[in-house]
Amino acid sequence: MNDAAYNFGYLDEQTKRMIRRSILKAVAIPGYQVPFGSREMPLPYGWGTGGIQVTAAIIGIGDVLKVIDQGADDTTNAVSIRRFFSRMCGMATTEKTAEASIIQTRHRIPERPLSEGQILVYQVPIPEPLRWLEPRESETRKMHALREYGVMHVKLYEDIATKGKVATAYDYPVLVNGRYIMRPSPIPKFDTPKMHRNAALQLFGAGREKRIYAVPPHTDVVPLDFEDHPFAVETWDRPCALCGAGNTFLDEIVVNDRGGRLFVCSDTDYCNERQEAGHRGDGGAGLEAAE
Amino acid sequence: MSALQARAPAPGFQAPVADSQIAFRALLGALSSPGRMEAISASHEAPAPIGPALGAACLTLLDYDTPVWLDPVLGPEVIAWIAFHTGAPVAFAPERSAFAVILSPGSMPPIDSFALGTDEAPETGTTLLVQVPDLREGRGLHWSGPGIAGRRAVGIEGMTPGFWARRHGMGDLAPRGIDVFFFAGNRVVGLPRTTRVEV
Repeated sequence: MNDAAYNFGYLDEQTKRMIRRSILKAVAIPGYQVPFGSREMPLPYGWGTGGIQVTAAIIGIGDVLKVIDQGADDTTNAVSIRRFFSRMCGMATTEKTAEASIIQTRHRIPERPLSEGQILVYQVPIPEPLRWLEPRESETRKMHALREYGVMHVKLYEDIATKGKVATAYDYPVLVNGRYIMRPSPIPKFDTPKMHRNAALQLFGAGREKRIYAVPPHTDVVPLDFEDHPFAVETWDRPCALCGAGNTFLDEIVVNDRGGRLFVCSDTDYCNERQEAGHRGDGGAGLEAAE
Repeated sequence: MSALQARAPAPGFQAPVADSQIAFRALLGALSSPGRMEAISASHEAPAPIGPALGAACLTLLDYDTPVWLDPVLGPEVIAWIAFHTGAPVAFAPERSAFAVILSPGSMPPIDSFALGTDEAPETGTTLLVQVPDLREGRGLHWSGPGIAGRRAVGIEGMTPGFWARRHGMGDLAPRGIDVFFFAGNRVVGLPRTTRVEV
């Protein structure tokens, strides 16, 4: 049961309609940031107010919601958002990627490939990819309108000229459907290729900046790069210490005060599933070497 | 029965909160996967000729923020129903509308006479809500673009060749453009501006 003192999904119906119309236009113009009348939510800006409003506008009693924060289902932000929707909607929640119909995420895309019909809702702090290159909103709107993206290529080139490589490790700029440059939110660039022709619908909500944008299923999402400096993702020289996976994004965990550390999957659900299936990593071996 | 009761509009959604969410998810699914048929099961009693899916879309999307252009074939009963349940102001000029409710696609205004949005704000283009006699998957024109893996054959009965030709000619306007929902009975198909239709 949802809390009867609130409307289903916390937002009032007129707000939901407004957000829903913005979502439809976002889907119709992939990668374009649709302005919307972002509301105050019962948590501070930067904690996912945009993602929560998108989720609140689409969620129904039949949905199964999963919330992740940096890949984990059990961190503060994920737990509190999941509890918020349990209370406001009374729908089911899950930690299993495969069982979820809506996945709200902060800064990761699940390792398990998403399927048709699933919706991935990203929490976005800064939606404008050109913001640090051109601070004026009036100018960035024109640059998007005219597809005037030379400044972004100059920025990437300058990275290569001064550092030898593109120094952007997360929130890597992408070109959506050959038209709009988009910020994929602060996901590691490891996750960027997963956006390309994903079977799931990807929705992005930025609460403070009042923008919603979207990538429909099976849509081209291409990271910006150069022929002689192609886009590449992070790699690790060891597999996950818990499940042994060699193809996932790893977090570095400091496990004692002598500098011992483990590298483990950032996606807790994926890691748990593998461990339940009998996969094991080297556990303490890497740890002992560090000591 | 008094004259007042006789003229009261027919009921809208039985459960407005749940029904509009169900209808919205069908619309979102339809627009995310252009050409794929979605069913709208939400219940209301829109007066004829408004069908179940078109009526649900009106109740879900329209409100006082959205000027709506109404097909001249619509009678006072339908106009009153939309006005009472949504509060949407009527747009008399197609280019001033956020939505357009169209039931006679054969004689509708040219698609590019509706609001196309601007290069800086392409989302201000009109969304057309068009009710047609029938929708078919697997037979008809070939659609491709975002939301479609490869291409998909979609049959929209009742749309004139002129509509498709005119829409095709609008491709150069991108990102400006018109997004369309087609309705037949309780089914809906979405056609965003980014979908290429082979004509």
